[in-house]
Amino acid sequence: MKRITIDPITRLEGHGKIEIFLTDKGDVDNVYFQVPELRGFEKFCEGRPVEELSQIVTKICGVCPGCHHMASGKAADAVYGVEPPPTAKKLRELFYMAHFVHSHIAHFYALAAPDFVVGPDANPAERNILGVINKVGVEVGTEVLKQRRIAQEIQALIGGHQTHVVMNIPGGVRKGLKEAEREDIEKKILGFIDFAKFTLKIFDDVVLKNKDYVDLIVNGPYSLNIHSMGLVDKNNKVNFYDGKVRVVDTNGNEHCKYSANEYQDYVAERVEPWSYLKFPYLKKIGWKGFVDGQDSGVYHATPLSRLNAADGMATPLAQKEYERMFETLGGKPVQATLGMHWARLVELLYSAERALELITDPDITGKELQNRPNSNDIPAEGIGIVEAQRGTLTHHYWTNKKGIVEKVNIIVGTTNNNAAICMSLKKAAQGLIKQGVEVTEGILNMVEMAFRAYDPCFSCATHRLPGDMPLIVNFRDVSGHLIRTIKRD
Amino acid sequence: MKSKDILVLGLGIEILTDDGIGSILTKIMSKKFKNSSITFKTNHVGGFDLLEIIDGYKTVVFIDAVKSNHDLPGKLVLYNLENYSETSHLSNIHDISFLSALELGRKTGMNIPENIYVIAIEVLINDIFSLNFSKEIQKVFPEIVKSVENIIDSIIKKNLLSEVVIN
Repeated sequence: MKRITIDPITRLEGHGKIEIFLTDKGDVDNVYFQVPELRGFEKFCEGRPVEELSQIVTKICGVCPGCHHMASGKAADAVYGVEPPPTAKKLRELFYMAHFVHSHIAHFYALAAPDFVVGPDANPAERNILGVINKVGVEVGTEVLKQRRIAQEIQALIGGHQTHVVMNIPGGVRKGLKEAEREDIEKKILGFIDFAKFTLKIFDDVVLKNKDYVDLIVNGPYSLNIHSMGLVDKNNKVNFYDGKVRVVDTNGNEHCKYSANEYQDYVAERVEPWSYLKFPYLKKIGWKGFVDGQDSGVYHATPLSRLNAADGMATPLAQKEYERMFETLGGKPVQATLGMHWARLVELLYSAERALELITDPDITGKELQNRPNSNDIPAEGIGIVEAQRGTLTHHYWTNKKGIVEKVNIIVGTTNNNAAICMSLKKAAQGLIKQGVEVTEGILNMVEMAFRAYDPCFSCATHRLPGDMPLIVNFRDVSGHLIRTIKRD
Repeated sequence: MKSKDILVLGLGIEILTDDGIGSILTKIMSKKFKNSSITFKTNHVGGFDLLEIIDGYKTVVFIDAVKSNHDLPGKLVLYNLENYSETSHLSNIHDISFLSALELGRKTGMNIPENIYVIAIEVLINDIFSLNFSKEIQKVFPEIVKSVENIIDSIIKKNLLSEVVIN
């Protein structure tokens, strides 16, 4: 048996390694995605006042600090048994929409677009955002930077800091919004909507009008028949901040729908000896291994799964795009992994539209910012769930009577997708690496495309070395000896 | 408000053992140079986000951890763009590398600093959550503080070597 190692993976957060085992004939036998790091963040949180955690958890990850801040804030609300007043809830959600806008823009232009606009097997030196801009025009690059910056400015204004967010306190937020600030943000959000529409047009022109790309998305080795998870509002429409978690099965039927405090009844976590990252699965089905199909417990929590799990989008333009996406890709549920890129852009448009709804809501400049916890209430246990860009994010805290954290469980967005990522990689590798076919850098990139679609974020901490990671592929013979190396600088 | 002349930007997560050494050093330097025109900031982001922070400054000095496993903990190296070497946070493989970010910034007409320096400090542990430095870094930390202070002083006096290995 031969072994191919992709280590480390390019264009993802944190550290990970793909091991591809080949048969003697050169076909793919099995694929393992390994996360060889253990950070112990949950342990670090123990012994600290629960109201401090929302600020500490922003330092888990520099990519989605706002998501951890929101999930943590909601968990702290639950620990103290208080619901924020409408103004506070809407400010939180407005902040969160800006967080989604900046993150989804970055993912599309820096991580997804290079594979489509420049080409999946193009020269790696050009297959990046600069290559994208060379193709679509420098003015697009200017807009990318501008819209990202505006989204960050909105987060900094509402959240106190764009990365080290400090807005949430149990039962509310620290600071409100002045009318002049509201007017300024409203103008900026109009730009978000235009830019989201423009980005969808690029996707339309470059991807959907290219028969080969559509064929790659729909018929390529990038489909996985698994269940879909996502947060929905009371009308079963997509919501990122609040609602119930809904799971639909591989046929599109509702498997379950649960509140945050019920998550342990529906989701269990499996440990494998070869990875530090756990493998969540649907508890009522059980763990049946790394297999897809209706009887499997494997699910995904991604932009695509969120759209699969919902009955629609809560804003008009996003709803139209939602309908177009499912019509084009063959109806619900869509199981084409690369469809995640389109779903992410539908979410970008939704985030922009929802932000506009919130900024024009009279409550947004309200003065009632916190429902203070009652001094007679004894803090105990609380769970907060939001949709992070990379999947459903759960924070579960147990405290003593003084509100000091005794135990923490966090299921980060990417963790939900751990089994699905392993299976997607295997499927892509089996479809692309065959006996007699030279394993080129382009083929390896196409294997990685299965992985990048999930927008994975493994370390949940912003550190890496080196920053622009090389790709090293080692070919080993049956006895493990190195017979060939491909290196991408 | 300070002028947009010199920015010292400390990078790193202070609750990840040695990872936050850049941020901690920057906070110390902000006190030592509190009467200067230098702007001091800390963060733990890279790639796109750095562009937005450095836009408009003439000179930027990054202070960041690096874990090459080739040097002794505490070794400090000063880089510029001509001999650039990656550190822990400058690039963000979730979006773009630092050098790509600079190129993107220039292409799109941003005011990218004329002078960019990176003070890189070799660290030992940057993946375990802890509020304390590793013992090895603790031992040499006073020397590191002094070295960084000397570099910043040199920058103020515009007397900076293109590359120096301090210790």
